[in-house]
Amino acid sequence: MADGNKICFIICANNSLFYDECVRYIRWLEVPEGMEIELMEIRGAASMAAGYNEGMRSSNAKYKVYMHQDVFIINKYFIHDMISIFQSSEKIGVIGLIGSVKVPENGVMWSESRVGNWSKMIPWEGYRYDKDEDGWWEVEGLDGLLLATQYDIPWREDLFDGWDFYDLSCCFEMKRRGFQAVVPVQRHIWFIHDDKAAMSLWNYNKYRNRFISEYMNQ
Amino acid sequence: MSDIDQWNLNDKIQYWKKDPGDKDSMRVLFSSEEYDILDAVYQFEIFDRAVTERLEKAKLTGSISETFIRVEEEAEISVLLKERFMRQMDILLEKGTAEAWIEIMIWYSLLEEEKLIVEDFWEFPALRTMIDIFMKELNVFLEKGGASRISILSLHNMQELTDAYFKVIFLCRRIEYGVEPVDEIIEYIEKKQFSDTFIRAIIQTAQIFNEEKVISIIEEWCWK
Repeated sequence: MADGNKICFIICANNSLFYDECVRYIRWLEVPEGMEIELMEIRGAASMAAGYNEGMRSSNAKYKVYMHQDVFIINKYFIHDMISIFQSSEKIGVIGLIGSVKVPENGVMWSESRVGNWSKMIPWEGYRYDKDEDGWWEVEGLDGLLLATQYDIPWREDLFDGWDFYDLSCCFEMKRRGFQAVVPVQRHIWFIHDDKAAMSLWNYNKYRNRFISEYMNQ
Repeated sequence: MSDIDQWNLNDKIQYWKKDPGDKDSMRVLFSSEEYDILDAVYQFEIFDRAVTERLEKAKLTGSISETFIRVEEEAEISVLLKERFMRQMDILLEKGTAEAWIEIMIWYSLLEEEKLIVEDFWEFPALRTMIDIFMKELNVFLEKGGASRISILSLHNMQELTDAYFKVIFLCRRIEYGVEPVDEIIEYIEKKQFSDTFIRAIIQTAQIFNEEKVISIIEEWCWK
């Protein structure tokens, strides 16, 4: 039985410098009263999906945040905001911080315009997300830098046994079950991501073709 | 050929460019680590031409797949180039001299010119930033007639360099967002004796919203 008073942060890690810093920001977050935080570090995962499945199975938290070790949450009220969005609609299955309203037929998420906020628009001091005033975008695809769920849907490690397309797969698996993927409107950026200047695309094409075959050729 | 013994690194690399396939001459001119880098660059070029030919035959040039296929096919050689390059960077950094940093800049410029900076690895952007810092600290050193310190010379290998890069970034962000512990900031910067120039240059790459706030706090703690 999922524990609605628990949130588990699940991180596949291979670099202690980044992981420790990522956790530092998690511990700095404002925690709603009565809520318990769980941290799960996954080392040596065969793939992102496999690592996330391991984390998912190991926790009974209702709310799970799957994130990269090089993501630092700077919205101090992230937990409050995430739960307020989930509690406003049972149809919302997964929340991300960057997404695409429409994933094109070629599966390349960033060839379409993206939503979220990866710049800073207003001064940070005094910024608070308001789900009623700010709202969210409903999207087809989310960037895997951070994915928060309120339902446990297995990650497709059978298909995505590397480090690409596990995120889009998650969104489409949610969609198959009638759930939505959303991105909150962030008037100030909620995160810092130390992604490298160019993502590692070494196996991208292989998984892109698998994604198209599984989800787009329906 | 003029007196080869007087050739500096730049001279040798210009000579190499005239005939990159001349392995015998290169083994004479360069150390084994330097030769390995140039060999990897040369292999990359040959490989890239072969990939282009295959893509053209398959009518995939200009398609969405082209970028991904290239990256996939070039993965192995990218790793080889990076490993060989960083090995030479370790050798130069260990010397701890301005002359060694000049050579680091020459090697980095070569890869930039050949469009072979492999951005998949964090070492490259970290090194790029440190090269900028070196130039700035060197300028200050020269302006002050040698009365300032080139703090970057205290980094003696790529592990120390990337650690310094990220630790300073992380610590500056902690100041911005009020994330503890902050004592670590003072201890680390004081221990390493990084210059004002060093910190300011790192802050510019750190995705800091209020740079002046962070700088003024560090100034008050470390340089008062």
